[in-house]
Amino acid sequence: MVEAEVVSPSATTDIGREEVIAAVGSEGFKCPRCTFLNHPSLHQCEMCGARLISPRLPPGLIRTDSPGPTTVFEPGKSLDGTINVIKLSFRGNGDKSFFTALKKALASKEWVSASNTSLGSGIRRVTSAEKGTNAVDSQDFTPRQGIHGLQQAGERSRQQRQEILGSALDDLQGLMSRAQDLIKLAEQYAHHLEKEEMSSNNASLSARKALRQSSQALGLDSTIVTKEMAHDPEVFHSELARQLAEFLDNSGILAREGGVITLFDLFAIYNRARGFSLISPKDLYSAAELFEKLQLPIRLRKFKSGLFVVQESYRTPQVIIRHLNEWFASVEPYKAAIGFSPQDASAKFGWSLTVATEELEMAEAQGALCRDEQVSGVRFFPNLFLVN
Amino acid sequence: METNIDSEDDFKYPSIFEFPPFFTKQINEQTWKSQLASWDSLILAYCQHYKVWKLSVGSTKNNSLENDLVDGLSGTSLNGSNGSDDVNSKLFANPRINRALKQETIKLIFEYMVEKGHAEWEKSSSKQQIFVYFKRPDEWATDIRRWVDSTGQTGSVLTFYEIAHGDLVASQDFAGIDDTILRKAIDNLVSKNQAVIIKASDNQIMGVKIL
Repeated sequence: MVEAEVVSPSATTDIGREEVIAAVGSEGFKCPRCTFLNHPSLHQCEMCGARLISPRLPPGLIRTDSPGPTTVFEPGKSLDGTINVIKLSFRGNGDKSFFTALKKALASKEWVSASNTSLGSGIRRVTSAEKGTNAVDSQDFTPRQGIHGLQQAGERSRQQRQEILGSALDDLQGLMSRAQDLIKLAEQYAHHLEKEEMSSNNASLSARKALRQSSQALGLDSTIVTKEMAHDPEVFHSELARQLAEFLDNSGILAREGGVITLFDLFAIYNRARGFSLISPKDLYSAAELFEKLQLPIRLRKFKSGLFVVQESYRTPQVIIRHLNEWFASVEPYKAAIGFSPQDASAKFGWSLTVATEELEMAEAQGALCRDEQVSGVRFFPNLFLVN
Repeated sequence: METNIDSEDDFKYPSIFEFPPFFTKQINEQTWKSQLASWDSLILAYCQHYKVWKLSVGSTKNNSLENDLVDGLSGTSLNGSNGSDDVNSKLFANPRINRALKQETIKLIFEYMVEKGHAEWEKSSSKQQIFVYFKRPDEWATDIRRWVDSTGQTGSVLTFYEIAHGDLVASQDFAGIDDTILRKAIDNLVSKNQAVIIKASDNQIMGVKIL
């Protein structure tokens, strides 16, 4: 009738063989507890596992004070006492409708949403559970209800969040360590190239050199200063200033740029070298402002147009003008007769065009140069007006 | 400024005239002041050499550098009596280095000269033309008086034309002097009670009697 656990008839019994055979003729054993009609040869109820008592026993042997409906079924009980197996018996086709309802409940997983609902609904659940005395038993094996259930649910979600956070931070740290590894690798590669370059003399030399330069531009020798390392922003900026000075010195960038680099370019190159934990333009500017105070060999300079550059500290305007004058004097007269464009200065000193223009205009403002404005652009001449 | 004023030869430009930045207004204030001074002395020397009494900022017609240069190359006479366009193309442009002053820069130079007392606006409202004072009106007055004295014409009546264009003044600095400047010089003498302006009955100026 219903799916039922078949219990092997191994248990000893005091029922005589005769009686068993006699019972076969009748309608079978009626379970005293659940009223299921068992096969006459069984000693225990097929359905509820209760002991079957033959109706033919003398009345004296029938224990009227037999234990009540103990729902406990030993094999299904686990060690900690919670019930893992529930047996249900049905008569009159109640099983089908129950089975559909059970399936529906399993599919909708109502207990999951119940654990996620707000505290208020949780309390409501508890109070309703306390009203029914029978329900108290059921609380033992459904820990999602009651105060304990709430605590457990809270604990579980807390653990879950910690896990998420932990794994997220792990990923970040992984990324950081990888970045550092990458930079190390780049440095090793640069060293390797340097060695190769010394030993061999083939055509790809310039290509190697370019590669080496780019990997040089990639790596910072000292550990990267981060805001987290220095809690005081002032300390951070001064450390950053020191590292910038070191970076410009070691990388040879300043030398390549003719001793002057715009703050924009420095921002780009330096952040590329850091690779991660990038600095903001504001941090860079704050650090650059400290160059002079920290007596570093580089200075922040503002041109008349508002352009900021970082340059070697000895390159005062006077030094620049002297260099310009020396250059003018060295140029052949027929070339000097048409003056000097910012492009010429850029080519001569390795400055960027912006810097070249600014330096020439600075020299002009100082009275060392004068200008010749043409449709084709401005050309600069030594200032004969003030010489005379 | 090494120029021989008395020479009938072509005007000798100073070396800075070959310097391209000379034709660009300098941004540096100090340099610009020096540049203004150079232009000032060049203009005075040039005008004295060719007896140019008036200069204009520029012609009202389209006065591009190219036109100036073409005019300058095709011009034959360097005489100051030529149009001011021709003078401008000689004085404010150097075709050899292909440079010329912009009109606004010329105007700034004129303002500087007026400020220095080396020139005067013809009409201070429009600021288009200047009288160039390579000698100021009071200096001209002194010159005219000296000439009158030396030629024994003291007390006699002279017409304005005689003073400016007469045969006797051909060798004088003020030969061909601009009418307005001459009038300013005579007014200077009158204010010092050294001259009397003779007027006809219809209030027309007949001449001047230098005392």
